[in-house]
Amino acid sequence: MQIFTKNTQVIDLVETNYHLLPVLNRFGISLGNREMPLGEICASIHVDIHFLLAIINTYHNEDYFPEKELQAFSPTLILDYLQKTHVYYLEYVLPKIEQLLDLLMKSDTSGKHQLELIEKFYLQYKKELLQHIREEEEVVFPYISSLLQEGSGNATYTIHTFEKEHSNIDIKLHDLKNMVIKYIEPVYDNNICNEFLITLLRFERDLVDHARIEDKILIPQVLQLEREIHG
Amino acid sequence: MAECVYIIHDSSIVQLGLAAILQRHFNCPVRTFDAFQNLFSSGETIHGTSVVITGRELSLRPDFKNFLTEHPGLHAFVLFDQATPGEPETPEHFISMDHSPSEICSRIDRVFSNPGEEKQASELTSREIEVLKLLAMGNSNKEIAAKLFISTHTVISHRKNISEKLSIRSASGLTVYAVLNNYIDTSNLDIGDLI
Repeated sequence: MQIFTKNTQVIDLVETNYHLLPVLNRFGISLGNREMPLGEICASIHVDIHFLLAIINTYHNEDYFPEKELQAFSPTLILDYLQKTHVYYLEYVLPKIEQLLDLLMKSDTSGKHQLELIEKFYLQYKKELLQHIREEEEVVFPYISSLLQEGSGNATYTIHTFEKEHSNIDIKLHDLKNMVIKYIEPVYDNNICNEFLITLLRFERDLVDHARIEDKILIPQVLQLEREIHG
Repeated sequence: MAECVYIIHDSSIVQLGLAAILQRHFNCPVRTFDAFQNLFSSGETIHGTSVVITGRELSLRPDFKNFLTEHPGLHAFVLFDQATPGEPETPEHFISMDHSPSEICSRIDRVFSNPGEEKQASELTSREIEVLKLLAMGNSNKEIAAKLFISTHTVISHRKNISEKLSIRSASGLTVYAVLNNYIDTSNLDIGDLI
């Protein structure tokens, strides 16, 4: 298991796991840093290197999950990170999936319209995902911010209200991918289909990590805050 | 995949080493015992599909063989000191101290990917198709149970089997499958409403 440290260079990180590229971007790290190690890059843009390392190591190694270490970070840092991943999903991943699905449908010359069913299913999935993200952005995250800033939150709301809805949404993404792999007649352009599936698989992987940080880090922290405030 | 791994060996170093390798690989509980009677008398419930690793001597003992017969989900592996047992009677599953961690894991993995034991024929049974059709038309488990004169529990069990065979778990995903395979007539329906 490779653990990245403050001395790791971006080039080694990318060669080890290129899925980390968008994760670096979420911290405001771009490329072109020559031989500068992560520690120096972070210092130059005022990013907490320990938080960055905790996130990228967790993302890279499924077995690595330093719960204690992660829970020691300010929930503000975690909220900021989660919000940036939401932006990445909304502004980049979903449009990319849609663009590829559109190309895939256009490449289908069979006239059987099987992919139209996939599109309907995708739109339903997207609706639920957006609703979930909206709830986090408009209810859950502001609630946590108010707990942190004022030491009090909306007394009628607790983090318990925010149940784990991830699983249901994850199941649909999993189904979407499996239906294309198993049951759709291959009357489309293979290269576009591969690209579509790879995008879904990467998204699935990213969502797992996202949910893990929410469920294992953020929610326990908020429960602790609630106990401190409400007794 | 294994639900639990049992290691019976008198050497703690072997116990710890194997436990470390297998725990990471299978991501399941690993229980270690110095002797068979400790496992036997521990009152441990052996879960569905598990693995037990023992020395050669124990693997031949009648009481151990009986124990295996009583627990059909338990796969026994014999641990040898060197790579080739070099005996006329090589056990069905074995690992060795000479094997690399990945070799040990892949040997155990093979038990779980035996084609004979893999997913059964993925064709749905006629009963499962009936359940699928009703589900695709938007019926709840309770409604399906009433229409087919079976218990809700049975409906849930059918749904579980359907999902396993098709690799589709959501109700709307199963609906798409039903439409793709013409199990439901959609000429008078707006499919968007069903999904």
